[in-house]
Amino acid sequence: MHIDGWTILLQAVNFLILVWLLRRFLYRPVLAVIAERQAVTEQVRTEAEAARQAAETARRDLEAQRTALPAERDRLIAAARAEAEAERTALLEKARTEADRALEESRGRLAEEREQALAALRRQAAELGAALAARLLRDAPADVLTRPLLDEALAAVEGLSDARRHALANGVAPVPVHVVAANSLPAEDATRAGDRLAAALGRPVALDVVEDSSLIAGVELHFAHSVVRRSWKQTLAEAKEEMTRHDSARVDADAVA
Amino acid sequence: MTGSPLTTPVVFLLGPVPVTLPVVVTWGLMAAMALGSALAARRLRVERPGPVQTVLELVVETLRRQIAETMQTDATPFLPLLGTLFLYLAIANLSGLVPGLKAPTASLETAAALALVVLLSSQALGIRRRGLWAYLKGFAHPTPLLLPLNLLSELTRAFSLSIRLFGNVMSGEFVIAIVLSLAGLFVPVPLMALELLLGLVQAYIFTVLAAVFIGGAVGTIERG
Repeated sequence: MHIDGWTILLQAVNFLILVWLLRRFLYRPVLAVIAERQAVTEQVRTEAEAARQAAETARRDLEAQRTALPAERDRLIAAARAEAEAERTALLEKARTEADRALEESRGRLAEEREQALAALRRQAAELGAALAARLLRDAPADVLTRPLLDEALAAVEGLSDARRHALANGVAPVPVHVVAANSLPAEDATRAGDRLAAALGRPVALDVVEDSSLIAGVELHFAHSVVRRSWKQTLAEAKEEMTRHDSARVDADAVA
Repeated sequence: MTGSPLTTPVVFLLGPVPVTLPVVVTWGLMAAMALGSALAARRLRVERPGPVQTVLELVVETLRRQIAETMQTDATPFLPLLGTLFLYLAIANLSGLVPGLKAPTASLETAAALALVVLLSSQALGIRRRGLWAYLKGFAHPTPLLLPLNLLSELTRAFSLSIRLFGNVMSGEFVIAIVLSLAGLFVPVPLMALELLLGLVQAYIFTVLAAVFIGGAVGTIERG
């Protein structure tokens, strides 16, 4: 057996050359392509991972929104209910206020109409009473009713102060006195009236007697500037006025109360 | 085959240098491998690679993964040496099945040359990776008493590499030649199929052992 050293050397060199050749023509380009593909794959994987992360984020956001939806819905419903309740309360309060106001107005109007009706009824009652009294007095004997009233009128003149009586005389003599009577005065009554007036005024008197049935009963003494009335006409008018005035005062008192 | 399997026939002389048959066959295999690689890797594409490119990438990636699993480190720096070692051994071993050719690895010189390359490469890579002093200190591990044995084991490992390869390939071819001469044309076919498997197994064993030796030298795995 013979071992050739040259062959060993040549084969070793051949192998090293083959290493260099394959490194140049095989390993380097193939590894470069593999590395490039891995880089591309890694990039795609990174992009896919980023897309997956984005999708996961979007899914979580949607999940969070979906989870928050019932709470948001409940909150909105509660807010809407509260708003509706407030609006309903406001409307009820407004309606109640308007109803109270309308009721108050109606009550006031009814009270006013009632008072007006009552006042009208009272007026009518007073007028009816006055008419009834006038009708009843008209049937009574006039001289019986007129005489006391004549005496009363004369007594009123006599009861005046001196200055008032002097004013009634007005500085003339005889003093003109226009006597309006409900019925024709008897002569003795006219004389007695003239005498008492002359005595009261301190000077002679010129009586002018006139009949006026509208007085019902009684007389009116007309001086130059004053009139002394004592008649049922006046009495009934005063009674009617007083009744009406009392009704007005009572109505005012009711209104104040 | 009438000559001794242990003799290496000289094809021609290049001055004082005798060029033997294994050298010539190796040149042919080198030319075929380099040319084939250049042609196959001419138009590599990142997207939609063709069948040839797929095979190339599969071979390269498988080699790299196998070396990485053996050396427990990134195999890219060692891929040209160890990958070429496997490809050359596989092709060279199988070339003996081609009529008229004799596997270069069936000669002791070729096996010795490859073992020598592995031995020197492991020393060079170990010194470069770990530093001269640290690398030399590794021979005295775990105790300086084992220094002679460790040094001896470096040589015997390379020797066993070459002898294992040479013996298996040479014996396979020798047995086939004997059976062929005794029994006829088709009888050695099963033996040739077996030789096909043995050639690939020997290439794998040689490459894995080389990776183990280099890995032990550079410190990625325990020195065997």
